[in-house]
Parts: sequence; structure tokens; C-alpha cells
Amino acid sequence: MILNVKNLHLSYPSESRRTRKRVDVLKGINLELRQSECLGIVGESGSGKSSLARVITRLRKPCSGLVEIEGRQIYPNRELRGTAEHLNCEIGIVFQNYKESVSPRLRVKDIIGESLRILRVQRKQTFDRKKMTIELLEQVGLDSSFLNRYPHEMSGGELQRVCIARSLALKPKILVLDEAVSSLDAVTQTQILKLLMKLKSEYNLSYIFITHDLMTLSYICDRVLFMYKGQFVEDCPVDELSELTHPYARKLLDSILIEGLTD
Amino acid sequence: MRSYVIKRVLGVIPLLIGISFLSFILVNLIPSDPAEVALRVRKTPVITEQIIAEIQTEMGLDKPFLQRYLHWLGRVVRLDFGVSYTNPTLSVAGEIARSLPATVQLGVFSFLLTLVLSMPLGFFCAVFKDSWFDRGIRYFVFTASAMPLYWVGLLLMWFFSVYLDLLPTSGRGGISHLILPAATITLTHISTYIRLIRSSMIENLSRDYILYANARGLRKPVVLVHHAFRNSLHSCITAFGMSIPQLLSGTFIVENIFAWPGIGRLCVTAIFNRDYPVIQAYILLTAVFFVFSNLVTDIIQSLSDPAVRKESL
Amino acid sequence: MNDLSVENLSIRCRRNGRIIVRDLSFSVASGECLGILGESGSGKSMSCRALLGLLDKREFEVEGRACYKGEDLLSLGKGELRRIRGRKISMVLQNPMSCFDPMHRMGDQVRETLRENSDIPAADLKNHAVKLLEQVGLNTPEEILRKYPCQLSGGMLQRVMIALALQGDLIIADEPTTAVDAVNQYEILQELKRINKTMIFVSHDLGAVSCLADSVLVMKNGQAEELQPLNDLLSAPRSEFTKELLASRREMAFRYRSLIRKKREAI
Repeated sequence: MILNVKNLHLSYPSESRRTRKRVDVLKGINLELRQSECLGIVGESGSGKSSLARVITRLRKPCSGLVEIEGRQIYPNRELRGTAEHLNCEIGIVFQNYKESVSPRLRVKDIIGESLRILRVQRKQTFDRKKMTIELLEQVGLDSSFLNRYPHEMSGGELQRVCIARSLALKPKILVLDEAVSSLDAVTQTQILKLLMKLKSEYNLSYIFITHDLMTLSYICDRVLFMYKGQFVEDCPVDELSELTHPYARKLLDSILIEGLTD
Repeated sequence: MRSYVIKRVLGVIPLLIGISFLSFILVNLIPSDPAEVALRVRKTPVITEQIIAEIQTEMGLDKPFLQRYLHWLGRVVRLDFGVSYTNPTLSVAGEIARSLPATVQLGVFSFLLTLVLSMPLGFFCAVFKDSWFDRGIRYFVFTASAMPLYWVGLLLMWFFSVYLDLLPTSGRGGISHLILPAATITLTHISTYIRLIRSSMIENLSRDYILYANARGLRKPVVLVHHAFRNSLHSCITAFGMSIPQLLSGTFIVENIFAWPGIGRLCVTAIFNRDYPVIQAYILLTAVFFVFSNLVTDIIQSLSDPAVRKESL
Repeated sequence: MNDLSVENLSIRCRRNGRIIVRDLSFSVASGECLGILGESGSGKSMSCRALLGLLDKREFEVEGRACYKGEDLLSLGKGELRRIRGRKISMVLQNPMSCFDPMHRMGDQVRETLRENSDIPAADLKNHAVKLLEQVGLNTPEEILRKYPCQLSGGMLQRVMIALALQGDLIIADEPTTAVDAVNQYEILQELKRINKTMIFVSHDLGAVSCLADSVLVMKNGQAEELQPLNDLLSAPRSEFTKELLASRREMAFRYRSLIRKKREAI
């Protein structure tokens, strides 16, 4: 078990600060991620998928519950901040909106360089920064000609590859992919999915793949959790996808458009 | 919605207490003894230890600090700011009440003038973006905001009153007296407003709902006024509200240039005379005004936003 | 007979001289649905906007001809074009959540559209609005008309947009299914299919296009890659881009199908 989440709760004040109501986003989440597994999380928009991703990657503090990575408790946690940040390196995240998850003023080498600096300062490793950046770029199917480019000089697919490289730089064990392929064009989507599968075996990664698209999910995932209003309502291996019984899951299955795509 | 208003109003109370405390200690921070200052101001010929002690008792200065503050606060709540040092027969509250109408008149008139002029100008600048009209206004705005308030005031006074001899140079009287001071304040503040409305309009014009309004075949004036302008006004409310106090501080200088008998002038005279109770009252009132104009704009802002209003439905 | 025929449509950005769309030609026959398929940035949305004069003339230079029932849309004056928009050619846009003015109630916005695009007397506008919303499967039209856009879901707003588009003879639907979730996407597609109008359906999603279109125009980098009837496109794509697109979508669909089918066979 590489990641273990128990009875996780999260709520936050309702959108406008004008009322005192709190919105429950996660209501008792239990999740176990096995080594080298790709776990898919599906659900409608607003069901709490992204909030879960943020809690797991320590971008957001949960209200209560337990989060463990490789048996080490990362929440609740009263340890020193330094140790917590060290743990942070073991889990990476790639967002849907690649354009807004990189600073438009940084070049590719600096975007990846930021991650490398964390590696050097916190893990006290020494390495040739440029060589390492190029290696990472090659890993995600880009080359050294990208080093000096700015985000606006790249296509969506290329930029998302840079984002993946940036996460890989920290040598994570788990990668959370929050709708990471959803806003890419169809052809690029397949390419990125293939890249992710290749990286998974090379780096011995485990994935949490968050999506609302059953087609991409079935392509890459081993197991599927179905989220509805802040809870997991179904859990099944991917080849039993069609057995989902929850009404929203049924609706989702019925809305897949593959007419004319299969013979 | 109602609970939000109540919460905001209650939230103002600690702020007001803090402000009152600050304006109180400000006067206590001055290097010289207030009693001595009061005596000097009253031009007492010989100042002896004994007279100082007498005055100290009279002014309550011999009591501990906190007690003095609470006593003062108690009076201030009843709008009693004590008496002027210069002339103990005049109460500070009375002086302020006497000069307040003039400042309000000037402030309100300037604010309305600014709004009435800046709204259409900003609107047309956005609609005819990059045209000669927009460029011309932009040059004007740039120049106007680069010139200091007192310089604009003197220029206007020289041109209209001295050179053309059309308007009175100073004092308060009919509408003709109001024109120059108000024009000075408007000229220096209008640039911010025009820029604000212009950029907000331009931003709104590129939104999806404007594209869709056009795609629905709505008439241009409807799209521009009914949809784009209304939304830009909404996003400008906060900025408008924030600039009302700025306008007030603008009157401070203008009143002195044009000898406008308002609060700003009262305060400057008080500063020259070291009339601390008046200064204290001025600071307090200005701060309270800042707080309340912010509060009111916040409430108006949320009242005019359907996304917030729906919660009360 | 062709309702709309576009010849050599080109769009150029004045600021940097970049050509956004180059020599695009296509036609839409009466009652037909033309799908325009392309990646983001391929110029599909820009072409649609150019047809209706929705591009800022100061920023974009549009050339070519677009004949709609004998009139060249690209050479019409602003006023004439405005009367065609909404009344004869209507649009459905991508982001339902941001396409309505947040400061006005839905009722006001629906009514102002009807007032502009039909000859319904003022007193009947409300009834007509209610009927229109019922036509697209909205069950509580009165309630919807009373609300502000922020109080409605994306799916509902998208339906209102479709309802308003029913006024026109030709509907240009610009990525109407992209911003809504999978379930709503499916339902919106069914709705568009049901209203059975002459339509230009723009999408980047091959699945959605093949659900609706009779013939498909594939665009890439501002140029037409190919224009074929849907079945021919799926069975015999001509351009490299289409082939690649089909291959990648099929690969994805194949895995999904095999998962589902395996289960069905087991049952």
C-alpha cells in the first residue's frame, strides 16, 4: 500500500463569505492506492475529485481524517515543517489547465529548474542541472531545443509534457493526474496517455487518474473509484466498468459517444 | 444578506475604537505640554508653574492616561469635542458644524460633476477604442493626473478669474463661487474615473455574454448600455467608493487655495494655531468618514450583485 | 439547394499579419448538418464568427464570399447583418455559464431576444418564452425565467441557448458540448438532433460530430483538410490528419468497447 486515506473530511465556507454555511466537499473518503497501480477516479463536476487531489498532495488541509504515504503519516501531523516538505516530494500533481499552471514569465529550463532546486536544497543532492533538465525533457519526449522557450511558444501537448517533467524531477512515487489530458486535442491526448504509461513502468510510479471521461479512464486505469457528492459510491476493477450500478454512473456509461468509431 | 450587513456594521465598531484611540494619543504625543500650549495660544502674558497646574486640572490633564481617554471618548460619542484652545468660548463641535456644510457642498458637487463627466467619457473611450477621441481623452487624462491639485487650482484661478475676469477668485457665495474649486477637484480626479470605466468596459466587451448578445442580433445600444455598461458600473462601485475619501482630502487643499470656508480650511488654521482639539476632531471625523464610505460601498456592491442577493431570497 | 455557400473565406489578423483562415469553402444544404471538426486553434470558431460579422473589423480582415439565400453575408452592412443574426441565422456558443449577462434575469434576456427577432406582440412575449423553453425539455420554464444565470446549471443554460436559436433557419453551434459534462453533452446532442434544423456543428470531438453531422469539414491550421460525407470520412479518410485522428480515437474506443463487450458476453 503506497497511499492510504482514511475517513477524510473536508468542508469550506460557502463561496461568498457572506453566509456562515459550510459546504461539505469530502464526506468520509477511504482510499487505498497499491504500488504501481493506476487508480481512476470518476465523478461529475463538483463531486469533490479535485479537492481530494489537493488534500492528497498537501495543497489543502483536510478537516479530519488520516493520510499516509508508505506508512508515514502526513496528516494529521505535528512534525516540523521541514520534514513535511520532504514528504511533499514523494507525490506530484499535474493539472488540467496547463496554461495556468506555469508562470508565463519563466522559460522551460527555469520551470523545471525550480523543482530541481528543491531537490538540491532539501535532499542535498548534487548534480549537473542542465544535463538533468535535458534528461527530463527527453524522458517526456521533448529535446534540448525547448530549454529556452516560454510557455506561449509551445503547444498544449508540449506544455503538458513540461508539466509532467517538472513533477518527475522530484522523483515522486505517486503522481496525481487531475484531468491532465481532458483539455488536450484528441491526437495529443492519446500521445500523452501513452507517455504516461511508459513513464509509469520506467519510474515505477503509481497514478491517481482523475477524469470525467470514461474512455480515457478505461485506456489507462486498472481500478476505478466512482465519486458522488463527496463520497466514493463504487469501487471496481476497470474491466467491470460496465457493471457500475449507481444511477449517475449508468448515465455516464450511456453517454459515451463511440458511434462510428468501432467497426 | 441581512446577516452580512449586520456583521459588517458590527465589524466597524472595533475599527472606530482603534481610530479614536489613535487620534487621542496623537495629540498626547506632541513634545510640549498641552496645557502650556493652550496658554501660549491664549496669549497668556506670564506663564507660571501655578497657572499651568490650574489649566492642567481644568483640562483634566492630571488624571491617568486611560481615564482621560475614556472621559474624552465618552464626550466624543455625544459629539462633544471640547473647546478650542484659541478661543475657549467656541466649542469645536460648533466650529465644525459651521464649516461642514461648505465642505459637503463642495464635495458632493465635485463628486457628481466627476461622475456625470467621467461616465460618458469612459464609455465612449471604450466603444471607440484607439480612435482620435479615445487618444485625445487619454492625453488629457495623462496631463491632468500629472498636474498637482494646487497648480491646477492656481492656473484655473489665473485664467478664469484674473485674465478673463469671469468668476470670483475666492470665498463662498452663489454657484459662480463653486465652479472653480469644484472644477479643480474634478479635473484632477476625473482621470482615474475615466480610466477605470474605460478599462472595465473594454474588459466586459470581450466577454462571452457580449459576443452572445451580438449573436442574438440585439441592437448595438442595447448591447453597449444595457449589458456592457451596467456590468462595468458594477465592477467600478468599489473603486468609486474608495475614491470618495480621496475627493474629501482633495477639498482640503482646494479650500485653502480658494478660501472656501470649509473643514479643510478650519483644520489648516487650527494647525497654524496649534489648536489641538480641532485637529483631533478633524482626524477623527475624516477617519470615520473613510470607514463608513467603505462600508456603504461594500453593502451597495453586494446588493447589486445577483450572485450574492440570491442567498437572501 | 444550398442554404449557405461559403467561397474562399480568409481571415487575417491585422496586428501581426497572421492568416487565421485561408481559402475555406463549404456549403450547407437545406436540412443538412455540416460538422466542422478541428483541433483548438484551427480556425473553426473564427470562421463561424466571421460569417455573422462578429469579428472586430479593426482587428481582423475578412475576405471571400458567403452566400446565404442569395445574399453575400460578408458584404452586407452592419444593420442588415444584425437583422439576419438571431432572426435567420442563430448561434449556440461554447460556455453557457458565461454567455448570459450575470446582471439580468433570464426572463429579461430571453424576452429581449424575442422582441428583437420576431414579430410577437409584447403581451405574448412571456407565454412565447415559456413555450420555447418547454420545447427544449426544460420542465420549469417560469422558474428558470425568474432566475439569474448564476443560479442555473450549465446544462440548463445551454438548453436556453438552444431554445433561443430555434428562432433561426440556420443554427451555427460553436462547440456547444465542450464546456458541459459527459451526461449533459449527450443530452444536448440528443436535443440538437431532435430539433432537426439546418445546422453547422463545430466541435473538436469526433464522437460528437459523428453523432450529428451528415457531412464533415476537417480543418487544421486554418485550412480545410477535407470535406466528405460522414460515412466516407469514417471509412476512407483522405488527409493524413484525419487518419491520425481516427486512429487515435479508435484505439481509445477499442479498449473501452472491449471492456464493455467482455462483460456483455459474460452475461
